[in-house]
Amino acid sequence: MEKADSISGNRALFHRILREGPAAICTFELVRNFTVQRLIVAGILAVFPPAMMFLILIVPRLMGATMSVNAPELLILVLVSISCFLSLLLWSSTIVDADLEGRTWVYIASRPWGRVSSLFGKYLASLFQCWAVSLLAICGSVLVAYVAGDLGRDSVRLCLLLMAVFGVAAIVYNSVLSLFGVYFFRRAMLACVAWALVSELFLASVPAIVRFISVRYHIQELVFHWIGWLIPDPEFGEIYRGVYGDFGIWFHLGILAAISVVTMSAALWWINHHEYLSAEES
Amino acid sequence: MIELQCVTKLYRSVIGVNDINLSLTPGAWGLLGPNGSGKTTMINLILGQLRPTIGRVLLFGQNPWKNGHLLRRIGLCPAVEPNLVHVNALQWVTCLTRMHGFTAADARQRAIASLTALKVDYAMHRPMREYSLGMRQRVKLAQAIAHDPELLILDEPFNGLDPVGRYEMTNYLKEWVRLGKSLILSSHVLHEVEAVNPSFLLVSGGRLLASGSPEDVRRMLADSPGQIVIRTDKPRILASHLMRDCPVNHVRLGTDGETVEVSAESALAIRTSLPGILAETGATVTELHSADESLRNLFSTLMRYHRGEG
Repeated sequence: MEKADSISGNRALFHRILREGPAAICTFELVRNFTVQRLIVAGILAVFPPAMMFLILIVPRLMGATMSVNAPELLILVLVSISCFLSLLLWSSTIVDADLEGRTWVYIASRPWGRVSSLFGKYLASLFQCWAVSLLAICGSVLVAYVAGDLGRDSVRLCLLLMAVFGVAAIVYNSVLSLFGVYFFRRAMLACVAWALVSELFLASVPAIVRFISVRYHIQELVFHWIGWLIPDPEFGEIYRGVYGDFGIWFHLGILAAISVVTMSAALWWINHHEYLSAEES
Repeated sequence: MIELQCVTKLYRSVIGVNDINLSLTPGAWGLLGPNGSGKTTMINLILGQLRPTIGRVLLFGQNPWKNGHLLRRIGLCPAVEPNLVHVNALQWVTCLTRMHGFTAADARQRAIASLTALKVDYAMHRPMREYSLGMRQRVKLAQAIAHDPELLILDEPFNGLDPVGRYEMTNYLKEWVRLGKSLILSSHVLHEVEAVNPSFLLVSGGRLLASGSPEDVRRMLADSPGQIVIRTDKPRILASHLMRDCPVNHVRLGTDGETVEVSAESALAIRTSLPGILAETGATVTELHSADESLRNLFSTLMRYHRGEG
């Protein structure tokens, strides 16, 4: 009877901590990041895509050139992707190392299920930051393209769809980078960049089943389904479908959800079963 | 409360702790040992932050590595200084208290109460980069007690505290023990730990060398080799008598012309003979203290005993 009470007590404590712990860490991280230096970094990431759009679409015209860009949407997609990836790289890949270097890990880890709270809390904090960066970057980029006259009336719709795409992409990429941050905690950024080059640049483009393990392929498919302008030529669209197949939105969303769940579960398992030592201790 | 059964912890080829067996009952315990002796490793093993390479650790009867909920009953004040420059103490302590499962409002109340109890509430809204070492030490303790733990583990808590801070910290810890709560106080300075009057665990080289009451440790200290500095009005006469009557290794006259430095295999023998010598010579002693304040001599003696060389 006493043992059963103790188990149910622990379960209640676990649920309470699972509710409060990540929220505490997330709030703390967001407050901690609200400094001039970090806001400047976030600002640079958010301003980079619109600034590049301005340089590519408007500056040449101001200088008298009569060029036009065929798919400004694609340009927005690429530039915002770079910003979002860098944002996640800064905040998710340092999930453990930042605490070890800042000597705060021992304080977090000595809380009940503190490692779990830290993982989820930092995941949420970096997700919110990435969403904020992508929101500003998308709005700015679409505005520049609209002012340049390269986008039609459906700019608002495009803006919303891009937000949805980047919203989903941030969730999945954040999980993958969190796993790298937990596993390769000392060289996490390097590992993330290597993974991006191999998986997201190379594997995602391979017309074989192996592309399914990349995140970009599924995001690309969502873009194709939701926005449709990625392959404007119907004939090329058919060739594309012949090579890459046609699986529907829910299939890709399902795969992305699975990637997210699997990587976060792996990160959770690893963070709970690994002895993290600071550079001095090790 | 805590049991370590044949516990060894290896960091690759380096030994953190070596074949430690101990059983700690609720109460106050002082973990004494030189820097690098394995105290922090032992604390991390107790907290389940490290897994023993060999042996078993039990905290409140359960394996701490697998039972995260046990940490709810513990408050840890580590030796490391957190590098938090922009946040203030209230934000940090509230966050860490909330991680114990308290709501944001409740955690904030508890954080304020613990910062007030440690007299740093006046600065709790200021960024922590502006804090002195002593203030940071108090904030570290505040985060450890805010959730009202049963067992408080402190790793070098007196570092950076001025004499007043040390006095207040000692009083706080004494009160903690008086309330019937448990305490493990880790330090490399005996008199800091002694002030709280706990039972002692002496650790060196990753081994548990001895354990016992404060009286036991004082006896061991007295019996161990050591250097004594005696300030007197007749240093030369006292030196010659000490050399004649006591088993000393060497006697040296201080450069100030008022002190005698005596090195002996047993400090106790000197202390026993000294009253007789003073009576005989008529010398007046104004000061008598150990030349080395650390426990190094005691530890080296215990290590020799441990290796069977004693």
